[in-house]
Amino acid sequence: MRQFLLVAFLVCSTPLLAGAQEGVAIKVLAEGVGPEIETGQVAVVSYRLKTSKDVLVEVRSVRDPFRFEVGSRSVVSGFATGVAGMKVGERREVTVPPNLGYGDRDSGLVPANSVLIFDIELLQISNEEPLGFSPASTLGDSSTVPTEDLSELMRKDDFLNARHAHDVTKPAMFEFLIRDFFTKPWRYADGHTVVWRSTARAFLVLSLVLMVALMGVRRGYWIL
Amino acid sequence: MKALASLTKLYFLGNVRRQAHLATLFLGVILLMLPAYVNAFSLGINAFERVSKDFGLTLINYFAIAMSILLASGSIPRDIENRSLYPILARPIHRYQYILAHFLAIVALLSLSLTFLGICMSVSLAAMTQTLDLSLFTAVIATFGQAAIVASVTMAASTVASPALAGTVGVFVFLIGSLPGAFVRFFLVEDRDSQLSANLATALKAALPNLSLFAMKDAVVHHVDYNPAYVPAIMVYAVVWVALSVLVAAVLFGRRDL
Repeated sequence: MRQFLLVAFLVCSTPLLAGAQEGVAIKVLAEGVGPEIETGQVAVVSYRLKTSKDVLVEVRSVRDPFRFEVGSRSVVSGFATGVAGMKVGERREVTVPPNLGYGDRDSGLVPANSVLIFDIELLQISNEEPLGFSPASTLGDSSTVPTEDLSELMRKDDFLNARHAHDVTKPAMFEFLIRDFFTKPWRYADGHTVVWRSTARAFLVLSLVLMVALMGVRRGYWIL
Repeated sequence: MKALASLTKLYFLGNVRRQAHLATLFLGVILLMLPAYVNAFSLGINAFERVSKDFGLTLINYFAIAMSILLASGSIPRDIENRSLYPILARPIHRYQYILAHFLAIVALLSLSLTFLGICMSVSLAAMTQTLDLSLFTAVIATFGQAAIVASVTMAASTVASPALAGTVGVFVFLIGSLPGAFVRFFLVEDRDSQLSANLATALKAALPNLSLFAMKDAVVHHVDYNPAYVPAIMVYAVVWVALSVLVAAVLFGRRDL
């Protein structure tokens, strides 16, 4: 009996041990559409970061998404591994062990040797190089125009004030609208899978309602 | 089946007799003139084709939704009010057949109207550009699917509510359903401190038909490639939602003490 329990324990724990060896554990919470993100492309993500002790550390929402170049060393390696291969609209829960996170040093709200749990959604894949946005023709002085990403520029008061754009109080909204325009499901070759998933859910509800309707008829609650 | 066809024909002719199609003719005339006007006002900028398509398809979309809500919200309450329902139900006709006939009559009128409007727009654009572009019918078909869903949900509401309330339900379903899910998250969920209201907003969006899937206008206007399998997929989605709404309408109507 003891041997049997030992074997059962080893069999059950093998996947966990394998996951620990691989480092980052990835759980897909929602499927995405389109091609997978590749090295060198810029990922626009929203995420929630908490520790394994359920302490919320950081939130980057769709209002204020986080951008980084996949393959660069600008983020902790576990986060980069978790985002690799994502599709637009995909949501993942990524569990990062300390050695691929912040390691044995305290980092703000994250104590040393913390396991990090990210809930990440890929909002957009961007091939953006600096847009080369050159409004010199409208301002007449190209030296005052920094060569930066337009969406970053639109968050800066100086940039907005120079264009008398004081009324643009929520530039994130414009960014959202543009992103929404360029991430509609029909734009992707596998976009129809989003529709089929929705159809399957609606069909399930239809089947349930049909069963209830027929039961109601049989019991005389209503007539059809 | 014969009873269903006869009833559908009866209600279709009833809708025509109420001159619901005159609005279609009026919009058709506007669409026939639209590209010429846009071209005149664009001062030689060679984008009038896109602007005309965008404007015209938006008009067709809102027209289809308005027509479906107006027809679906009033047809059954009007029958009850006029007492014209009773001689029909006294015959060997099931209540679901009565509901289905009303819905099919509305769908028939909608399909004819949208076909007519699509033809008007293609012809007027062809007259200006010298090329016949039938791709805009993709957006018209998507609009038809969307309008059919709104009509079926409105009709389900009209079996237990007044025309005004049923119409309001139809408008609500259209407005919330048309918003992209991310849009709801952007303005409702992430703006709220309360997790409860955030969950309510998300649940409401999930419970209603997702009409943003039918937004094919941009693909047509900007000549963006899309997978041909997408259009049949959204039509199947529309059929399932219509079946669900008509079934709910039949159950609600079956509970009524007439």
